[in-house]
Amino acid sequence: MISDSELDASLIERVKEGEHEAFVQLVNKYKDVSFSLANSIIKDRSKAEDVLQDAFLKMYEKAYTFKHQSAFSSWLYRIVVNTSYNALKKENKYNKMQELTTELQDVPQEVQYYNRLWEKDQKVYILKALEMLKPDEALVLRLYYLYEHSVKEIEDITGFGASKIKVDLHRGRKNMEKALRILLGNQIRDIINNF
Amino acid sequence: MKEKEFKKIMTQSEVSTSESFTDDLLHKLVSQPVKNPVKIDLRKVLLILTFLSLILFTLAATISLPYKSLMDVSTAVSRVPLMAGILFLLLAGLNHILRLARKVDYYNEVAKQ
Repeated sequence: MISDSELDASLIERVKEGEHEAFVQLVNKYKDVSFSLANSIIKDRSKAEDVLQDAFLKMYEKAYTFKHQSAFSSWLYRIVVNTSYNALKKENKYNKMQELTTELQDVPQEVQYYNRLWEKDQKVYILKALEMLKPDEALVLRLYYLYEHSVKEIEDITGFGASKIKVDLHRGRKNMEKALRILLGNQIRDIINNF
Repeated sequence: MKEKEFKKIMTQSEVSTSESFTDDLLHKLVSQPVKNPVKIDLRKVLLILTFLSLILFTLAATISLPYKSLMDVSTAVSRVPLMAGILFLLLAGLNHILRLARKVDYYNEVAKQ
């Protein structure tokens, strides 16, 4: 039985040879995780998809530089994260976003709309709350809690230092809870109890 | 909120790409063919260069090349200038390779655009 990393290694070797089929297999395998990471930073689904396509094309072009010194997934996520931050900086939105999300005091207009959706889809609130966080915090939270990467792995993927990651995790959790309270009020208990 | 509860909430935070994502990506890949980047394995080149310089150093240090007769004029070549010459050539070679690698990177960047 071939392991996951062995499969990745053989696929990337085929990508190096220019095989499109192997490339598609890798894309299908990693697109959702990569999209979640890109979306943590870009916070706009349609733009995040464009950025992710650029990241995958970059992966195809740079495949020959992959020397199997780390896991393929970490290498790919690093490309996705770097491409996303570059796109964000290009739009000059990064600094603005940092300022906007420093204080989560203003309740957005969408809250009324989301409150009506409450029973339909809790996921919408969770995604909305994540959008209200700083890109670094949302990214680190997803990597740590959703994809269960260790701090060391997050260091490799993001290039952040361990202390920054720990601070982002701590602040991210606090801000996420704050954002959920803003969006849901006391109904936050329902969302917790429902899981 | 407890760590466990928070983790449960975060499990709902995955988002998925649109259905046409892979098709669009392949279309991009095919319609904008990626130019084959120029490859220089810097590590291999450095290894070869180091190996060659070691041989030259050993030769300079062990084999004596003291005299050379040229038009009846005897010239003594001592080891120190010989080693200095080899070192100079080595550094010049390294400099050339690094410049070449930078140019290749630049070419690849331009090719991508």
